[in-house]
Amino acid sequence: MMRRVLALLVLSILAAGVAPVLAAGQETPDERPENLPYFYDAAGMFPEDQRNTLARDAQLLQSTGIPTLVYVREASAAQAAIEESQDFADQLRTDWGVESEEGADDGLVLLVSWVPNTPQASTAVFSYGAATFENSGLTPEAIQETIDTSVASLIDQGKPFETLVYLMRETRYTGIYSPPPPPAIEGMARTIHESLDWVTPVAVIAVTLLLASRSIAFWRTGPVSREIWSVTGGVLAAVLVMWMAAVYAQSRTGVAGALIILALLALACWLWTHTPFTTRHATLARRRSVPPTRRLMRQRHQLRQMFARATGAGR
Amino acid sequence: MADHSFSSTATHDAPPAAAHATEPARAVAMPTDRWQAMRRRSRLVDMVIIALIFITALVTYVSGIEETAFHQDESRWINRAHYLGDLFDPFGPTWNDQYLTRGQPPVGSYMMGLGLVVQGRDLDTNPAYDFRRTREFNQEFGTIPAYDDLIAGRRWNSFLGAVSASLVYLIVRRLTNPVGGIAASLFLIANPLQTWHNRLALADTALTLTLALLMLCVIQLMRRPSWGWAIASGILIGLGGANKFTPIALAAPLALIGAVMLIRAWFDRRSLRADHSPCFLGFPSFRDQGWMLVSIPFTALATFVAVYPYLWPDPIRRTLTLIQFRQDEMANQYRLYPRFRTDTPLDALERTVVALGDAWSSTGHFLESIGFNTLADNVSQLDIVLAVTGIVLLLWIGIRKGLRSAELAIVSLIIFQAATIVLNMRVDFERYYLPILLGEVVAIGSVIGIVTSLAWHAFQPTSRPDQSRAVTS
Repeated sequence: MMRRVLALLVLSILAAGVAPVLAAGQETPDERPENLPYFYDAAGMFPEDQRNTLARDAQLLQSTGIPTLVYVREASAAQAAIEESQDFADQLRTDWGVESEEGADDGLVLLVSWVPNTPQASTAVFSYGAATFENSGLTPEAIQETIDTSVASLIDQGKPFETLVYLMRETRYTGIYSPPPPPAIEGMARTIHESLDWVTPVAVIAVTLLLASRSIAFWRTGPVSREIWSVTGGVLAAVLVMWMAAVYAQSRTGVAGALIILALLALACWLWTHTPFTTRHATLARRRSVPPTRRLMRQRHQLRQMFARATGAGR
Repeated sequence: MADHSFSSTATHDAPPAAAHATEPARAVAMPTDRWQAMRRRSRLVDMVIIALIFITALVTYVSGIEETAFHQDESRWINRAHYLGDLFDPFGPTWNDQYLTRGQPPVGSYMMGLGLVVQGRDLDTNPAYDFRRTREFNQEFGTIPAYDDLIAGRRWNSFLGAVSASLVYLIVRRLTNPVGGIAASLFLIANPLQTWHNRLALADTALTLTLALLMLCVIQLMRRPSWGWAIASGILIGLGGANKFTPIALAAPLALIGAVMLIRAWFDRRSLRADHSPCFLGFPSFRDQGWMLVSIPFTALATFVAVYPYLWPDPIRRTLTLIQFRQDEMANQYRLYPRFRTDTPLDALERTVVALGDAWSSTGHFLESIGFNTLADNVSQLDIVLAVTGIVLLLWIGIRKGLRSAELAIVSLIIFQAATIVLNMRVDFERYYLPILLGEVVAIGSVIGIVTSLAWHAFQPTSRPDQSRAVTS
């Protein structure tokens, strides 16, 4: 009997000591586990099956390419306030070293501070480093929008599991399916970019003049195959150079110019190889071309000559 | 083939010149007139048949677009319709290294965008479907396309499918005769796999269309060699590759044929001890068909890069990234769908034969639709039997005619396309069979066309022996 009373006394003392701590919630992050987890349930809020689902979602969240930790804690209303939670998240990211490698500063922490008694006072915040969103389509604005819409609604409904699920899934979705920003145009690329703005029209005019002059010449003398090939090769080389410069300098003008030149060349080649260019000098063309029958006759003649030479016939 | 036989028939039917020696000049020109009239009539008949095939196919496909169940991939293709608009901003965010851009070459998306724009829809559609998530999550997230977008995309594919059916007629008609062409088109229209995909807003219909156009272009290139057809063939292979990768392999057989032509010409020139050489190193001039065929891989690769702004900054490395990505995806699918696994090329070949000869047989489907279920089970393999016979016949004709024959080029395209798919297949998703199916119906149409020609000449009382030869010569 005495033992039972003693045990009850100890339990009530312990309960009296622990209860305020629980009511106050977690003020500082737990000690960092040896292996950095993707998901950390500090208060053991969720049963095993839910925790497994959340852990799986947190693992999939890594496919955005950003090292991410999802941390959930129980907190008092005061601790769950945005500023307090933000400090907690920042501290967590730094203390636990959430980043791809030391000094990379590219990690992300999603923190949900759940207030058991008044779930509506719960909050979700995130902390990120200087390089977190450098190569990703995910942006702080996008995460904040998720928090302000889906997550806020689920917090109001008092659903901690769904809150975390949606926070992770929508963040992952945005991270995967939103394109990252294009690289900045700097240095030499900037110079070429600006130059192409005036070089391109000049090049287009120059090529147009060249093709026009060749067309006039071909109109007078008839198209010459070798010249057509020379012009085509030269212009194609110019297009290739212009295209490469335009891609390097991210110049839409340059790309458009290269395409226009290519179209002009195609048009010119088509004109030079069709009527009226070809029919105008049909006689010349006929003289130059060797029909297959004549080619065969010529080959037969050569064979006969070879045979005659070999056998000595006809001497 | 048909043109050749027409011309030979016209020549044979021409009255002896002596009989008309005293008649006016107009009568002397009669054989040409008759030949031209025959050509005109033939073209008119072709146009009527093409129109009928197009209408039949369009009605068949469009009639089922609303009943066809939603396919998750449709969400992705309709989502990426905006790529068409993003072409005007080739250095914009869409073309950076990101999951969606890396995941699939863009031509199918351009076609989808074009289809939506043509029907008055805009390019701002649904977010992409997330396959890692449930249907419910996706529905909540708005990744299911709007009904109007979905129907517009499906209607566009039905249209493209109907154009493909018409092109199949032209291909086989050019290889054999109108009967073969009609048979090939009907086999295509009756095929349940093709019908299903033409009623979905996916990219496979655009690929079928590209391949059909390529076959037609190659026939033209082989029959009337010109740089225009060679460039067009290269561009179509590039576009096919920028739709679904594997068609890029089709440049290989054509280039190989061209290379053999050039090497043979080089040896011929050497053995004839010809002194003059119109081109360098004793090869023929650039007007030779061999050069045109050899140029095709270069045009194809240039087109592949040019239409895909993602590749521009680093074409080789990013293409390798794409290939690696596709292989990883295939490995994932292999892991996720055990029942679709194919472990060896032989396994893949067996599954292909079973799929096209059983599950997706045109004959079987047609017989089932008119109530002959037992017969359908028994003769569904007819498609495969006819296709294999057609391939063998085309190959035989091609070898007999030589390197410059259209038959050889077409059959090499069919074999290479099928081989590329079978060798790379790790999971047998239905859509992978569609390019093989196109080759299958062309082969089926060819065998029916050839048999019809032979039968026609055999049963004609006045037929001459050289006419029956025209089919196979």
